Amino acid sequence: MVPLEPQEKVLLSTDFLSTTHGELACESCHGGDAVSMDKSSAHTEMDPQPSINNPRKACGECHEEIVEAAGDSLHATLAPFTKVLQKRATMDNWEHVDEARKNHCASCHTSCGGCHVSRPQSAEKGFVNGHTFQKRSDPLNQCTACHGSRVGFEFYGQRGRGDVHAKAGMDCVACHGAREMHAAAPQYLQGRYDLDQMTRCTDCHENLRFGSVREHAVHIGKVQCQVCHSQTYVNCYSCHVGKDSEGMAFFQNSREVESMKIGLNDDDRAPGAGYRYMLVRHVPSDPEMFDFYGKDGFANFGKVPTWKRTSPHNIQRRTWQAATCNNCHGNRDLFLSETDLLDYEKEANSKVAVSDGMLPKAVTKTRKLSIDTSKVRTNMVVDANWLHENLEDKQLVVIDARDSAAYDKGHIEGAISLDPLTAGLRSGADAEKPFTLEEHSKVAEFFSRKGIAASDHIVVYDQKASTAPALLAFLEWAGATRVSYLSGGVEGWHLGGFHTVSEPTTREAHAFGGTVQPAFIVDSDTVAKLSEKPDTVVVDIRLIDRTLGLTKHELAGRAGAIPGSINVPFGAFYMENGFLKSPTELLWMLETYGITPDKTVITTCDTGIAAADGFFILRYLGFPDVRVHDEAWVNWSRTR
Amino acid sequence: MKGSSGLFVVVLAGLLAGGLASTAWATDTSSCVTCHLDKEMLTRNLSGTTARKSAMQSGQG
Ligand code: HEC
Repeated sequence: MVPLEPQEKVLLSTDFLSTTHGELACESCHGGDAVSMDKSSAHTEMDPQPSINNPRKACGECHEEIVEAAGDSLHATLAPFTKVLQKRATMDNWEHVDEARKNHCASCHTSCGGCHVSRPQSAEKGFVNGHTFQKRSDPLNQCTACHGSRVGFEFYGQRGRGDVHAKAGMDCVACHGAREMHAAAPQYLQGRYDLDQMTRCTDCHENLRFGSVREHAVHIGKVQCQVCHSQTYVNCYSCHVGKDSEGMAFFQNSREVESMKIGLNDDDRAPGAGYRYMLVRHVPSDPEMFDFYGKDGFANFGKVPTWKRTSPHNIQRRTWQAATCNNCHGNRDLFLSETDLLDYEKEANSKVAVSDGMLPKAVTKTRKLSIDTSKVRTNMVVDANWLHENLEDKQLVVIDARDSAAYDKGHIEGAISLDPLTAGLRSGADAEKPFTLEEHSKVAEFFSRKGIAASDHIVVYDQKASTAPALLAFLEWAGATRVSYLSGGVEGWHLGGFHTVSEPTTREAHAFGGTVQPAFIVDSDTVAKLSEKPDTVVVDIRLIDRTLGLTKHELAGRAGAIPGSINVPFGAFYMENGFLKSPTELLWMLETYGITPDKTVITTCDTGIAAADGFFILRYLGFPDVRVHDEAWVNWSRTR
Repeated sequence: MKGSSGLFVVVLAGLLAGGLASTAWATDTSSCVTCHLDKEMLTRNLSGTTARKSAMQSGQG
């Protein structure tokens, strides 16, 4: 979502004035004094959000039926949320739980305006289209402005490969139409999945049982669709809320982990939910979540699971867990077990955890996957334990590729700071060709000043696998011969039980040496020429909304994608916290796109960084001919 | 009869035109619209209080 300046947020478009809503006088919805040219008197008794404060008058005079129903919709009331809190609390402590709910959770609701005219309040408002009302909510400025991390990231490929529906150009409303969005939620509704009008996969995908896919006939009624068709998703842990010294409400979510767990369906009353196994997501509830408002808020914490039914918005026809029977059957790690549960949540999840007896047994007759991992360059990835053991090695150079503020706060002992985004390895945003790699001599000289030699063993880490793999790609291009990525980055380091330090390290300058690998970097002309060859594939590592042309980089000439390129979004390559998927899974995933080691693979993106990240993974997997299109879409789109 | 119905049409058209024109006129002179269509005027009148997040906030919502 592009940030808006405060004046842009409230700037009307002239087109709005000729729409039906634009022909109404402003004050008929907003009040205020429409004669005064002085802002404060014009704003006197002006209602900034009439559809929240007075929906019946502002919207209901024309849209009476919708407003009546939608006033009780899940978006307006968040009623199941209150229900869950009531179950966890007792009558004695409800008052302070409810106060916390109002201060921290209830601000996330929305009403007519937040879906049809402006960005929602919790996304800091601002007109989506100059105050022109839109029947269809805008997926990027409205729906995912709130449902961002758990839906938007997964749908558009920031985490995982994105969703087939997104790739097909479907927006949120394509599935979640007015019937569902405006539906009044009955008082007795326990959870959002119980809503009759809620959209279901089978609304479109009818009669699967009798279709050509054998697995459907075998699994229908036993597993939720998402169990086979979703990818890993984010799980949050242990949220705590409070107010800061200025009285501003905040929450702190202590941990976010990308993973996947199948649990038992503890509640099959929801319409269409008669299956036994379902995907479960860890919600951030914690017994002490609302302690700021009073102790023991959740005396009945054990009454509601903290691993909840989920429907991740990252659907794919082919997924790793369903690639072959025994990726799922008998795979203990994939099923929620007692050992996955924290002490305080054992009772809460007793009906959801899958006991060994409930684990589907491995099958003997199954399709074998033949993935050749013999070419994987395993030494290009190290883990925290390896690094800890080898830190003293004189030939080892450790580079922290995060920004300098993160480095200053705490870094791995002995690591030098080098953020490839700001170090000057690439041209600037104002250059004729923005963000392209500088001449080799300049880059090599820079590495020399940093005390890095091409023959050193160079280990690079970051936080979320964005700058570190890119720097490794630039180092390889410059001539470094032994480079490794620290899987899991700084989070993996901490999880390994290791500490960071704040005293900076610098190395004495010495010659980088190294022979440039010119073939690793290609310009747009070369991409255009090579992409016509049948044995070349151009892999676009941007998010789906970019390749569909729904959004564009601010420096790009236009929205769009290189003709013939295959979009494999960034999240397909790396787990969110910088951990790597297994080489087998990565090779399998790439093969589903037709990206195989016998091809020349060119990676591209907006500004060359994600392309370089993808380059690193392909090199690690043993692809013999990989190249980075460092000019990327920003430059391609300016001239082509 | 013919003449008077013709006159009626003219009067009606006049009323409609006047009605429409006066709605347009109302919007034109609405101070809300005048200011909210003008980026510079808006910028000059900003109250400067932007929505802030607490510095203590962390993690995904
Ligand atoms: C002289 C300029 C001016 C006039 C006249 C004016 N406004 Fe505004 N209005 C602003 C500015 C500037 C903002 C941005 C918020 C701020 O900085 O105060 C704003 C914000 C708003 C908002 C958003 C408030 C929020 O909290 O989201 C609404 C709604 C609004 N105006 C309605 C009106 C209406 C209705 C009128 C006429 C009755 C009107 N304005 C007249 C300048 C004006």
